[in-house]
This record gives sequence, structure tokens and C-alpha cells, in this order.
Amino acid sequence: MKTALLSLSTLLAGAVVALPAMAQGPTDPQIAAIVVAANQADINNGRLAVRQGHDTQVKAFARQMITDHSAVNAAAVKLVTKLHVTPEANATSKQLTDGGVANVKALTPLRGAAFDKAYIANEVAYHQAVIDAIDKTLIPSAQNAELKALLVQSRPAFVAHLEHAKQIQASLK
Amino acid sequence: MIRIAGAVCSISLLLAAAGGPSPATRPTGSIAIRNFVFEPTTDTVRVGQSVTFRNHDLVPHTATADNRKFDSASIAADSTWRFTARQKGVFTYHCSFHPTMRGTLVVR
Repeated sequence: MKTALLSLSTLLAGAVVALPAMAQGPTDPQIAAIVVAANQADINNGRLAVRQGHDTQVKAFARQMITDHSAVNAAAVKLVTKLHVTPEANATSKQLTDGGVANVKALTPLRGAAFDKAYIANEVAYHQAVIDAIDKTLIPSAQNAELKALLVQSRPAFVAHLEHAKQIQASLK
Repeated sequence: MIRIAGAVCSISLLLAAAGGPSPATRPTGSIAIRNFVFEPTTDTVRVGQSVTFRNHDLVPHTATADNRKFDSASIAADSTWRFTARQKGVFTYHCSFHPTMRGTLVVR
């Protein structure tokens, strides 16, 4: 579990970052915060890519990331509101947020094909890391059945995004 | 009583022979979009039949024929799009938003 959480944050931050030790998996409120932070990080990446992306398929992909991750976040917020669960910020969600900010900062100076390649490479890594975290940590740890079901229902989106990003990555070479 | 039962039995047999509806049979022309997959991946309908796509996912999708003969535009989560299949043929289609999603509609 700790390894999965570290991998997710590591890839997002683009560097090895030590996470506070977690004796057990995240609680449902913590999972909610992790989900929202993870989606928001890719929404922010997408907004940057819509502005600075060069290739039309990269920009279209970025717009789709904004749409899809916003929809998943909206579903997550709707569910936790219904369940009266308050997302609880935690070391992992904070790491995701900080890592996302760092990633945007690293991408911002890039232009043209260099930006496209870096953005898509990050999308491939990010989505793989999120899928790993969903499979190894978030779904196994979720206690509430509806939260677990939402995670399961969200997973195909990340898988489809990963496959799409890989296709674009191959075409940019 | 026996004659009535016999008539009912005969009707049931006729229905079964004609391929009458079964609870286990999904009606053709009813395609579910679930987990980023078109279900069934291949469906066969008659010319003039209504075809329905229902999006069960959290995100929007489209059902867009590769040759553009039909295009749902965005189907929002928990929404349905319907069109009438007016032309015979084999139509491969995809989701414009998620190109890994593909399906085939056969119109006879």
C-alpha cells in the first residue's frame, strides 16, 4: 500500500519524494480527498495543455481530460455529500496537489513539440500511477460500498485515458 | 379446461418456434455504454428499426459512425441517444472522445 501511494506521488512530482509512513490504508474521507486531488491535478495539467499544446490531438486530449476528470470529481463530490463524508486532506492528497503544481511549473516554459511530448509522457505516467493506486490501495481500502463502487466505476476512464495517451505518444515520436 | 390448456400450450410452442422474447435475450438496437465499452460490441438491427445508446458511465461519450452516417454528438452521463437505422450496411463506429471505444452496427 505504501509503495503504491509513493509511486503515484513520485510520478506526479517527477522526483522521488518521501511520504509519511502510513500504518494502514487510507480511510474513506482520506480516499475522497485523494480522488479529488488526483482528478484536479490532471484537470490543471489539461488546462495548461489546452493553452500551450501544439498538436491538435494533444489539445483535444487535454480538453477531454478536463471534461472527464471534472465529471469524475463531480460524481465523487455528489457521493460524499450524500454520504455526509467530509474529504480529509492527508499526506497523499497534499502530495498530489503539490506534485501537480510542480508539474505545471515544469511544463510551463516548454513550447511546441517539446511541450506536447512532455505533457503526454506525464499523462501516460500519471494515469498508470493512478490505476495502480486505485487497484492496490483505494479500492481495497474503501469501506463504504458506494465509494468502492464509484472507484470501480471510475477505473475504466483512467484505463481509456492511458491507452489514448499511449497512442498519441507513439504518434508524436 | 383441457382444450383451453391445449390451446395455450400450442400458442406457447408457436411463440417459442418464432423466437419469441426471452428474459435472457437482449433486444437488438439497445446498446449500453458501460465501462467505456459498447455492449454489445456488435449488434444487428432491421432497416427502419430504432437504435438506442444509453450511457451508463460517469463521463460523456459519442456514438459516431466511421463513415459519419450517424453521429450522436455528446451523450451525457445517464443519458440516451436514439436514431432510426434507415440504410442497410455494416457500420463501424467509435466514441469521438475516447477512440479506443469501438463497435459495429449491422443493418439488414
